[in-house]
Amino acid sequence: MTRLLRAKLFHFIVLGIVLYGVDELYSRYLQRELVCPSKIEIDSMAAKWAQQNRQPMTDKLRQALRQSAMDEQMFFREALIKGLHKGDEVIVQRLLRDAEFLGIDGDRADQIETVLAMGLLDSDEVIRRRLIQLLEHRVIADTQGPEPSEHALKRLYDDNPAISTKPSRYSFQQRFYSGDTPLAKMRAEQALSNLNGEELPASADVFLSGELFNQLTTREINAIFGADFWPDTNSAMSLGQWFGPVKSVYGWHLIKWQAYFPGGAKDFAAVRLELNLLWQREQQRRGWQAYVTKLRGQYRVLCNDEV
Amino acid sequence: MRVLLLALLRLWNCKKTLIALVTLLSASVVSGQPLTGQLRDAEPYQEQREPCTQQYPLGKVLFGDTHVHTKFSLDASTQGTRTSPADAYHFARGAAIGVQPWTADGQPLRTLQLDRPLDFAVVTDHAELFGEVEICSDPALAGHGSWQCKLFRHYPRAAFFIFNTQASLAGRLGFCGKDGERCRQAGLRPWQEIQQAAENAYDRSSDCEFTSFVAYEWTGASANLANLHRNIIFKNEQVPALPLSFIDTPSAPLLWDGLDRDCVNAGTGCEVLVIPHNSNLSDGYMFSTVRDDGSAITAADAAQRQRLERLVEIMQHKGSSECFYNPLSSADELCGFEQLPYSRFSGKFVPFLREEATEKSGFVRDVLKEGMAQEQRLGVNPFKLGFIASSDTHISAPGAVNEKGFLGHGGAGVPAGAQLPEGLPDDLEFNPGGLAAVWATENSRESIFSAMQRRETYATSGPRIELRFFGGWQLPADMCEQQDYVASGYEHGVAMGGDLLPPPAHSNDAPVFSVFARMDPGTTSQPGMPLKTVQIIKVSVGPDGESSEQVIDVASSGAAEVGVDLATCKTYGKGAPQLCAHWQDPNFNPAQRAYYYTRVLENPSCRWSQQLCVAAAVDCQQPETIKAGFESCCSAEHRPIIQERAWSSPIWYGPAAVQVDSQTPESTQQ
Repeated sequence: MTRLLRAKLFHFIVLGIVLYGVDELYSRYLQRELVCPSKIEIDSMAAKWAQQNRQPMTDKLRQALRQSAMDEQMFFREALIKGLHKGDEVIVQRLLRDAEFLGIDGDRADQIETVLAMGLLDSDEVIRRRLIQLLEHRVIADTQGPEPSEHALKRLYDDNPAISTKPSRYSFQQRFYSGDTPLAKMRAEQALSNLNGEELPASADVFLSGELFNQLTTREINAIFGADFWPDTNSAMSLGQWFGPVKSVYGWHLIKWQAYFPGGAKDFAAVRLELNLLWQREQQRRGWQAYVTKLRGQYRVLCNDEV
Repeated sequence: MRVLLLALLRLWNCKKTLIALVTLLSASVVSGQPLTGQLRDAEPYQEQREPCTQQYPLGKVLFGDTHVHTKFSLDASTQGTRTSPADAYHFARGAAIGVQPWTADGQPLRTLQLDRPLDFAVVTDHAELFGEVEICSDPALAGHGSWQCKLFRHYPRAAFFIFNTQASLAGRLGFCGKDGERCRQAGLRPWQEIQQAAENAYDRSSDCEFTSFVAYEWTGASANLANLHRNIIFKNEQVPALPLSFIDTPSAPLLWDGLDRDCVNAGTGCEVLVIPHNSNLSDGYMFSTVRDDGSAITAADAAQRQRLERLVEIMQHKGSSECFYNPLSSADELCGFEQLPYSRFSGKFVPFLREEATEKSGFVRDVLKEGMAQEQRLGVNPFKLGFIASSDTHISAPGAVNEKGFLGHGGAGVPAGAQLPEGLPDDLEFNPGGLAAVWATENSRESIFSAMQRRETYATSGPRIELRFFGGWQLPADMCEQQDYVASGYEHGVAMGGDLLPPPAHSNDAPVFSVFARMDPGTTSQPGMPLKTVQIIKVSVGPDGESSEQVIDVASSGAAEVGVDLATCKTYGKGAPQLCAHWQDPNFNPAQRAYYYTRVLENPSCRWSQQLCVAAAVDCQQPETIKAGFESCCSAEHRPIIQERAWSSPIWYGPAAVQVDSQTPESTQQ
């Protein structure tokens, strides 16, 4: 072992590896350099954006345009550093087509090598966009780690009431006194006071939606009778007793609240799949955002003039 | 896990009948009254889902939008729509959606949200250019760098015309490769995303809060580029591998044959409805009575058409197709509602092609009359169409049909941003569109699809008016005073969309109709408008081919002075919260075929355009108040007032043995 460590050949190999590593790092260091879009370029982008969107350009929007342009440059370079262009058939075909167009001879590998050496990658918009897309796909794919923990799903369950809760439901009967008939409210009041233990208040008008309403949510009730009909009614009613008159957009109603089905939490298992999807989407979004932030820290930015 | 879930769902399906019975029984016990109407046991589901907690044996009206475009439609994407089918379904369920223009970092500068969610929605992107739009949007796909795609990305309006014209000629663009295979394959991904979005949005739980359908639009055109468009809606997730576009099936008969081959007879459980729309722009070609070879249609053709085309979209953002209107000669003045100033869409962009509509343009009232005439010849009515309305939104916003706060639906090839300078957000002749109303027994695909098949549907120009329409020979004279009005209607007659049963033997009576309408209750921010009038429209055709048309006011609020102050958009005058009428046809001739439908009218209100003109303080008497973009507020074409309305599906009468396919909602539910 000692002889090996003292051997000149070994020293030569180690030195070679070190030099190769340093060269790679330096090369990447050089590649990880972004050039700020010039003021003229930003002005051009801003003008184009304003023309397309017919909105006034603000400083904030100019900054957003600048960052967007630099990010695009950064993603493209990073995709090249990772060699994503080498394994993608779409890009390869594109490069081969460019080679044929330029009359470059040789086998497939030679043609690609020549086209790459000519720097055509930078100027091909299709390849640029494809590389950025590949990078994003790869980062998002890497983000998809193990299944979410029970704790994470429970937290989503707690934080998303739209998914995890079901609304209360009500069953009731109503008698209707049409607002376009004379003394509608008085008729309703009289019908209520004359009940005397009868099952139904008398002399009601016909309501197209009927008299019985079974297991409706507040939203469904208000969709029939008009906004705010039920909350006002509900707060003052007792189960099993006629109550009213209550005003709707149609006239007056006597209400007998018959059953209440409390809302509350949906079974966790029933919404597990939905929560899982939500978790995955959130992880992907965060993963990409974190990657972009980290990547920005690895790039040097050269700016020649102020935006 | 998935297997276990499916097994549980199957168990639930077996329980559905029991749950329905328990629900009905509990309602009966709760009320202390026996439930009336022709109650029937619910059938087991054909699809995998939990049974709905809420069952409505006598039907519940569900409001939806069956005509929605998202970023997958070229004429939506070229005007800046970036939102997807999934976004459209979220919006329909009540979520806010981003609307163009978008900032550089992808944030929308406008948002939109419904004040009342929909019960169902159907995304119907144009199938013709699925692949083309996909290729031009995805740098990874071959053809992305073509000059057409560059045009698409840099000059969307020009691309809109070129792509659409090519599709209207049933042709593929050059970058689609040999036989268009490249575009066909590229279209797979959007089609799969559309299916997945519909699946994700469909509430298969017992809550049954929202229903979606897999669908697309077949964007056909005649030789003179008149509109033949049809929405293709599938009952369930069993759909063809790729949608049959106009390029694949370049005529309506080829489309029907293709759908029969790839769906109805494919043995996969696929079922389909075809809904034509905008016959007002069809120049008479949409409801043609000749085959592709120029010969007259046969009974088999008519039967196929009647089987597949059960509904027509009578109103949407590109106008009303109810009836032709000529201010100088039309007896029915109310046909003058949301009429377009051209009979073909090409007339909008090419002035020398512009022609005004005529009696032969293909308005629905005339089409249904022609259907009865064809029935006399063939024994089958090819145009037996129920009514719905929808929005035709091109910003993924189903149900955004309020006159107030209208952002403009676009769809006319106007690029993003061009709508946003100060001024009206859409072309003056367009409107927010309408809604489809369906009488279903629950909010599920099977129940809604069944209601559409039996035509128990109606259309509204936006408001959520509730409307019942029954016809029969012995409807009780006091039906409007009966608390069990609906049950009585089903017991003694047929509902909208059906055929009158044969008259009782030895009866010389005329048929009786009952219509009951309830105003839209509205919302806190936008209260509903009361009702003004209910009309029944009767169209008949005699054995000699002679036809007649009558519009009868059968109920009215009786308010003498109703209107709207155009300076403030405040309405005045009273109206009715509900209107009910019982009407027997005094001119009934048993030898004549006839159809009857009802039209319900609200009190007048300010149209969307006038609301914006008022908000911008435009006073046409003072030119200095007319700001840029608001010039059309004072144009001769501007219609400042709208009388919102609902149209029921018709009820048909025929002297021969009639085809009965409509009873209670349950009777035909599959």
